Amino acid sequence: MNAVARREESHRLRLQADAVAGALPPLLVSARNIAVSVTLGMHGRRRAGVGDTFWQFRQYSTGDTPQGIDWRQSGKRDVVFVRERELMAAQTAALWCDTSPSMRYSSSPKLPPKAERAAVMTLALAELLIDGGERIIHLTGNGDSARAASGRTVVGQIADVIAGEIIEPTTTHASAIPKFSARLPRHSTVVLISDFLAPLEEITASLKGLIRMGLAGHLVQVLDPAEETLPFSGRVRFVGLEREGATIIDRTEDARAQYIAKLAAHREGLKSVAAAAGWSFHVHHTDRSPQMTMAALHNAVTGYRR
Amino acid sequence: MLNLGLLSFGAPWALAAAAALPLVWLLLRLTPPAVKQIHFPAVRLLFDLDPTQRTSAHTPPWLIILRIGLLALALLGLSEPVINFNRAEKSGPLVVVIDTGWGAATHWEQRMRVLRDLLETADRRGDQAVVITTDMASVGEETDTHLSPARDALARVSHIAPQPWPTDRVHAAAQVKALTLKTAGRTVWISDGVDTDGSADLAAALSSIGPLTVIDSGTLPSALIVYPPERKLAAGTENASSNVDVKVGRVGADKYPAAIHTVRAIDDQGQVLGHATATFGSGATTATAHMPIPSELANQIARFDIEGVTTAAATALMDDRWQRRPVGIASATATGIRAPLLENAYYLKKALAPFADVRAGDLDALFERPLAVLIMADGGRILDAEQKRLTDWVSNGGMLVRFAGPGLEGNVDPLLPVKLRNGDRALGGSMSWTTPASLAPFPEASPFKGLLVPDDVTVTTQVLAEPASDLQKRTWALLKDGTPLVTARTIGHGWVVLFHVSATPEWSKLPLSGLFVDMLRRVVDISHGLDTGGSADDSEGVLAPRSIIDAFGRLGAPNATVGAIAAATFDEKQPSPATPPGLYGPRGATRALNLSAHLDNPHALPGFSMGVTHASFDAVVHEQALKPWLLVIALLLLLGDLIVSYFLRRLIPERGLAKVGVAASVLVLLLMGAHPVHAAEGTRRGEIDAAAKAAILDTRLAYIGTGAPDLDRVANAGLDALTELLSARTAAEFAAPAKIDLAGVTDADGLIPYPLIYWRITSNFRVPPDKALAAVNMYLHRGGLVIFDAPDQVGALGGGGSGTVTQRLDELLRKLDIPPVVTLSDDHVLNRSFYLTRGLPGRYVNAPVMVERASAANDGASSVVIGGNDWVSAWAKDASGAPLYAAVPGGEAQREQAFRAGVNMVMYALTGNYKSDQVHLPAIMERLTQ
Repeated sequence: MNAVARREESHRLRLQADAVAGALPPLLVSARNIAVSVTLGMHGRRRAGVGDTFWQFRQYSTGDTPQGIDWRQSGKRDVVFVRERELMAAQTAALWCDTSPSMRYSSSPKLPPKAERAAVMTLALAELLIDGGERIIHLTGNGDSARAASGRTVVGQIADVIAGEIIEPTTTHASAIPKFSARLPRHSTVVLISDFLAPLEEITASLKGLIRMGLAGHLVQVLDPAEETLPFSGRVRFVGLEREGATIIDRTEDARAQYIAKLAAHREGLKSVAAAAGWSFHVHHTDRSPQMTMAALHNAVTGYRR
Repeated sequence: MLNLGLLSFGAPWALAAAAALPLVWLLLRLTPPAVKQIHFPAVRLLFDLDPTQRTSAHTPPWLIILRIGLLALALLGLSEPVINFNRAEKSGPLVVVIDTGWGAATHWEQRMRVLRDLLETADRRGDQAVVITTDMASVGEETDTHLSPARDALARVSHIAPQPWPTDRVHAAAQVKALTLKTAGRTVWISDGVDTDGSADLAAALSSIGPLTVIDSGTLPSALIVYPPERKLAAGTENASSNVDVKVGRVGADKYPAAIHTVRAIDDQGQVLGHATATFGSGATTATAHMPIPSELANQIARFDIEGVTTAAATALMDDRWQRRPVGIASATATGIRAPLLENAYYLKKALAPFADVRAGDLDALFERPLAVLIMADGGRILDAEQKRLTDWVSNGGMLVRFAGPGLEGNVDPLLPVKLRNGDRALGGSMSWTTPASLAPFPEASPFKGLLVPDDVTVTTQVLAEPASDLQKRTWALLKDGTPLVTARTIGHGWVVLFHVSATPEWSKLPLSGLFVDMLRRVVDISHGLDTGGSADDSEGVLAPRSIIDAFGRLGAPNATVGAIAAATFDEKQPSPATPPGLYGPRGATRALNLSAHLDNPHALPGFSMGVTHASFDAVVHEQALKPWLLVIALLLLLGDLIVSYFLRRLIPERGLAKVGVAASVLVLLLMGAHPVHAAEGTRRGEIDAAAKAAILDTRLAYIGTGAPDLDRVANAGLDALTELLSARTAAEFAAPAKIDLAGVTDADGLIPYPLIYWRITSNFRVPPDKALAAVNMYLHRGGLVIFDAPDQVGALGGGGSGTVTQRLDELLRKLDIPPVVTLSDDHVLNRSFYLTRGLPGRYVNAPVMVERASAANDGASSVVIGGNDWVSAWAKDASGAPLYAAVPGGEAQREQAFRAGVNMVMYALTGNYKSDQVHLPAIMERLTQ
């Protein structure tokens, strides 16, 4: 194992991730949650519960403790009001970044490999979440997962692991989502960043396990622009990167329309799986800036639209 | 040989290969394009695409057609097709005689085409051939003619060219007779249509070998000849002009109808100066073109030719006997011109320059080269020693024009047209009652006849002729009172002309008027030119070839085989390889050897009887071989196919296409731009060095390096301080001062940019090299100012107080070309060119300052300031601005005076004597008296 190369790759990824994350407001400094950002690791969950922040007044009903009655409000009217506070709890996010061989593809030397862009987005998200006081679990390619942790050092550890995976792949299987052995905390959020080019059935099967755990989830599909448009022409022999096999297309320009249709169908399948579980689905292309997708991802992760 | 109508095939078996074309078609159709491999992550999506939508992997049909067409063209080309195959042409050895004399230059292209067609036809039939020219053999040159394969003969055809001299058919007939042919052959004579010696002999020799065909230009226009014209003065015309009659001839008049040709007069730059038409009557051999042309243009004519005809015979070169008449102005004082506008010859030179070559000098210098007209403007008598020479020259056709003057009275010498009275006549003077006389209209017999006489030309003083019976005849111009103004007399072949007034405006207004120009033009026009006017030793000279013309009338440099011609025998020389037509002799006295001058009415070649066929150029069938064209087209198609294939295989990506285009255009530009690149290199070589550039781009003061570093530093610091002061107090803003190393100065170019040069003389001064001194001299003459500073005081830098510095200065000044100097006076411009100062104080005040004595040269401004006040030491400051040396005895007040002296010197160098203008005197006087 080339430790020096791994260190360098990890450092490079973190620098990029910092750049991406720095361009966005830290998670809890976003305008909507500015009130709850004071408490480290805790923020409102938009429902009544144990917390410090005022949530709402509501009419007293049986079962409410008398201590909960707000006498000032009750004194103004004939009805007795109870002061409710917002439930506050720290959130746990599990992040997975696909580093399988197919992710190492880039159609042009000017574009970064998909894996690199995915890693940058993963680390940037981790950075922002840590800044916001959340807890992070990194799901590795072979299904392992670290304990939920918070603190800045975690991001560095994650960067090391991802860099190692990119340099020296540990995954033996193709780009399907691994079976995560770790039991994730309930109500935690899982973020999966991959190209999701494995057969739809495999992906659906993998996702079902996570959905059954009742997790909130977000899928980010990272694609090279060439995968979107198939910009080749002429007689071409296409070879897979994960021993899927090869095929010869005589006139690629003629096959383009079919390919684009198939890709769209595949993506529709993913979207419907995600939508059924209430998960969000994002598409990112490596020729675009990661900030746009990151902004959408943040909105989703912090939005709690369950 | 397979014949299909117009088309014939030399190798028809090659067409059999066309049977394989359908097979090629099939192969091409079946071969799919090559596969390209691409790694692609989403390959799963590409599996199981709808096979019905897959298109064929076959080559596109148009490409197949292109390739089949390519093959078909190549096969067709290899089968050697010939269009227009002459089936009547029999086979057998071919003997061709082609005339290469002057007459062949007309329609030479057609002659060569006929020759090539004949040889190509023979080659196609595998015949042997020989080509014999009727060239005049050069001395010692033996042409080896024998039969060889027609292909070899064809290769030698390009060496055949027409010559600007007649044919030598006797020699050609001998060559034909020497041929040995095994079988009976065919003979062709491509004739130029001009009859010469041996024509019949040649025809007979050719006929004896085989049936003879004589091919000539048929009904095409025949060869034209322009005879060199004579020059005549057009009498009686309003403005001076010459009428040139150009005689034009043609060969074989009986065959041709009437024709009109345009004769052109052309100068040595190729500009057409005039043209006229020559009209041949039907059957006429000669015609004449009348060309009126102004005299000054006629002088520039370098050749006559016929529009649209470029042959040696139709070109008549004009030499210096025709062209400008050299006019010599004799003067006793040929050098040392002091006041140009008062000089005798000034008005003559101005008047003659438009139409004559004017030379001035003493008689010896003038007669070194031939003269047409000699003008003596001094008005004195001719020395006895010169009389003999001048009389000989005039009687040989020279024209002597004399002007009156104070010394010309009485019968001073025989070279006068009339006897003169003693004393001159003054009209309109303070002691005379008559008003200045004006001119009468010119007499009928005068060459000036027709010139308008302006009223404002008046004569105040003239010399008078003694009345004589023949005075009337000799008078070319008179005054209103009947006294002659211009008289002339012939001596031998030449003229003596006397203007009874001087050549300057002192005696009359004639030299100021336009009439003077016209009169001189007429005088020069009637001079004989140079043909008989050359000096006696001309006939002994040898005329070297200057430039020769080829058969197409083009001038070119003579080659080594062309010999010089003795002047005495020049007129008898016939054009030949050793003496081709052209210009011979030195510049200014060239003689033209014209081909046409030696063609005395040439006759057309007579028809030959007895088995001789006459034909014209178009009688020879032109067989056109298609093989090269077809193969070239096939090759182009192959290139096109290559490019198309690359595109089809995507070996050139779309983006790469732009790159390919850019690369191709760059390549083309590089090829085209090869020459400009050369030119750029050429200019780079002439670049000026950095020091000269710095000197030219910014004005700056300069000092001459003394070799002592500390002194140079002081000089630099001093001039630097002065430069700073100048920009603070005056409008002169200079760049940093420059140091001149005289050892490196070779010409004045290194010095001339500087307005002022400071030269410090030291006790161990070494006199610079001669080249540098010459450069300094040139600098002084061109208006530069050098300040020689030689402080000899005790304690002065580089001095010794023992007078050595002054000695060194003397040593230097003796070597330089310094005009007389005087002590600087108090009212010298140097003392008031900017500040009003007294003397030029420096670090010291007591050393004398010398400047050039006022003279006419350089507007009276002095080119030197010689002193010893050590100015730079007074100016020099250190980095902090503190003065380096004390000024003695005046202290800081004296230093200010020193700076003012420096400013004055710089201003003097820049403005010269501007301040001495009287315009400023009142103001200066006012300030001085205050």
